[in-house]
Amino acid sequence: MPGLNSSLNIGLSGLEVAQAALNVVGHNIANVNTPDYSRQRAIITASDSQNFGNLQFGAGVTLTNVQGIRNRFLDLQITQATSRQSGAETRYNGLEAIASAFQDDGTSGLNTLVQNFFNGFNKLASTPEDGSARNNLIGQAQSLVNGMQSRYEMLENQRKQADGSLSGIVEQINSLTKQIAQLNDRIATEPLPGSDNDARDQRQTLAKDLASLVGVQVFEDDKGRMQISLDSGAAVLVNGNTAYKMSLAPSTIAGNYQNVQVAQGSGAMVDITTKVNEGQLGAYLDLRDDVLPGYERKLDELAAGIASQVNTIHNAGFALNGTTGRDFFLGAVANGANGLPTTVTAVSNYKGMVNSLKVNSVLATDPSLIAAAGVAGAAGNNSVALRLAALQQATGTVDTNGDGTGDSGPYSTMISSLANRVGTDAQGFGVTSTNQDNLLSALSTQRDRASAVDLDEEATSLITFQRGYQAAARFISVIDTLTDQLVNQFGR
Amino acid sequence: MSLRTPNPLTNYQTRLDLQRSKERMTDLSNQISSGNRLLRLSDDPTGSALVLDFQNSIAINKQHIDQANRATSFLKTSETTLSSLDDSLQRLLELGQQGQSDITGSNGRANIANEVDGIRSTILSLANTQSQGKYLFSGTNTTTQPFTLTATGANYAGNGASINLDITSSTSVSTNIPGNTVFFGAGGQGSSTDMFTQVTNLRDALTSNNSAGIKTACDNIKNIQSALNNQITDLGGRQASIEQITTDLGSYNESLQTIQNTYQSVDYPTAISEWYQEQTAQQASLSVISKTGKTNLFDYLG
Repeated sequence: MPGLNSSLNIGLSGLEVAQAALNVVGHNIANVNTPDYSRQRAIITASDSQNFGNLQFGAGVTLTNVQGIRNRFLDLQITQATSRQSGAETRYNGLEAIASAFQDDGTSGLNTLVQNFFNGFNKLASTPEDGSARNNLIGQAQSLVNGMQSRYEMLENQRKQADGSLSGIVEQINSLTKQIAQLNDRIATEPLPGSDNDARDQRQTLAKDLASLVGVQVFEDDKGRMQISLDSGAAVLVNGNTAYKMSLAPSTIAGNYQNVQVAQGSGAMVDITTKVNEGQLGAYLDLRDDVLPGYERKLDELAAGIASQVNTIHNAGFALNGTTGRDFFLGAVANGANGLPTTVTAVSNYKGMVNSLKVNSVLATDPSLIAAAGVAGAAGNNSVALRLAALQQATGTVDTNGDGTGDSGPYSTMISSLANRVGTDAQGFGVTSTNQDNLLSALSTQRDRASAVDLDEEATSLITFQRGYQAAARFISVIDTLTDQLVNQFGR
Repeated sequence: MSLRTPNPLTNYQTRLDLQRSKERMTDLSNQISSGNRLLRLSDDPTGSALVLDFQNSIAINKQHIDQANRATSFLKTSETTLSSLDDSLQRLLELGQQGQSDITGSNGRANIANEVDGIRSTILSLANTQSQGKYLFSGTNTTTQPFTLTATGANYAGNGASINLDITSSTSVSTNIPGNTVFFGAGGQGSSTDMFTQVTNLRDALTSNNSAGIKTACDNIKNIQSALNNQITDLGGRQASIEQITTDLGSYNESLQTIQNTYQSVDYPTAISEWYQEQTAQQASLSVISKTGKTNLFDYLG
């Protein structure tokens, strides 16, 4: 039979384990509001029993582990959903910022500007000999050019902003991947596998932050280390305790924009500019290189459509002084026919048309040179002005495939379809963002059901372990009395 | 089975729902205050594009209405001028009657000839009428004075072209009558239908006491007057048809506006009741959250 000292040890183990369990409870309570904290549980088992003869006596209690309650599968799903949600939200915000430029309140929209411009030709047709109709037309033409250019500039600025955001994002990504790699190292070298709960929680927070910045695929290897690669699988960001550095390099093709690259194990740079789908990084690259240039192209096509059609007819008309053969609009310096760029391809199409567009300065200085007449010397002849005004409703006025012939139109349809496209894109990303938000909230609620700290639960544990501690202390005091009896009182 | 429900305050779904309800309330109150259902393109991309199309159709119809009004103003000025011309011709015929009468002596005829000469100047100034900076009766040579008097009649410096304006995308209306058709008539310059020649002939016949000449001139002027009346009727007819088109365009625009409003305008009863619904839901969930957050086992421990 175990002696009194063994009994004291049993009482001691009870005290120690109760105090350790109280520590765990205290840690949980202290972290009740810590994001991504997983509640911990003291795993308590009875100590191995001792043999006395053919009897087995218990030897008290042991704390075998402090276990974090987490669902790894949910954590990974949350990371993925975070990527998609932040990707859609960033795209949505980027589009909302420019969408207002394509709305029309009937006084200043693109459609109104085009209408006013062509209505200028209507007025010119009614009084071709009158200077005020001509001045009005030049003014409307300038407003149209300015209106298109300011919208184009808005798109350009949005692209520049997207590009400008990259450096900050890449810096954050590098800092996050480095920290994750360090935590991976801590976790891989933990003395008792699965015991470093707080490192895992911290790493999950970092992984979520990382996922909102860049689309990633995440899994854990057999040592519990988080392996992170891009969502497209094109490059690895974290492998074990190594983080691969992401950096920016000036792009050789995309003008002043920057490419994104990752240094892989061998030190070779992998260009990932087109290989990030989600997260803020993916969204900004998509906005910069794909979505916004698509809208810019539509504006360029519209500008080219208006300039070429107006110029073709205007060239054939006669000014008040009987001269002919002038362009109404001028395009790039290396103007081809009708103010269009000299080479047009299906890919570049009329790139840069809006920016180079201007009203022919000769006409702006002397509006009497606007050709309203179909014959020389007849001041009241308005046949060319009528043809120009009728362009407003003509089809086949806009070339969208770069083959030099108009295939779309009228202009107003192009504008409303552009507005529709911007709206539909924004709506699509808005809906995706909402859906991912819903998914994220469902997943997070599910995760919290398993992992979050419940104060009622902790209060119960607190009482339980407090009582355990009190009882163990009582037991020690009883054994102490017995020992006292034996040592001090015996034989008196 | 019982589910752990750690902390209702950190419940993501509740937070998200509250956020969304607030967002909807903001949207609704923006819609109500602006009267516009389409705050953002992404609210209803198809509706927004349709509204643009409607706005475009309405604007183009307005352009047509404006153009029709300008056409009417030219036609009206021409009509007024031709009516004055008609008055002058009427007076000439009266004077011709007097000149043919035997009671009128040679002195009287000389006086009448003077008045006829005056009327000829009036007719000339009517023929050179300008409106909005253009000569009405010089065809498309609108900056050139069309008629100048000569000893025998008048010369025409204009041309025979008509000035058309488009008042719908398919309807074009001529806004002028070339001066040569009005003043020279079907026979052309110097013929029996040439107004200036006949007035000059009348004056000369009066001066030379030539009754037969006076009668011939009067008969010709009578024919000229009836041709003029046809042209006045024609001008009136053109204005009437423009007015018809303007009225049609106006009512067409009204119906377009009505359709546009169904896409664009807020339906106030719906919007306001939706706003109240959101508000009730929000208040209810806020009050529930504030109560559930309060109770905790720690409150009851000593």
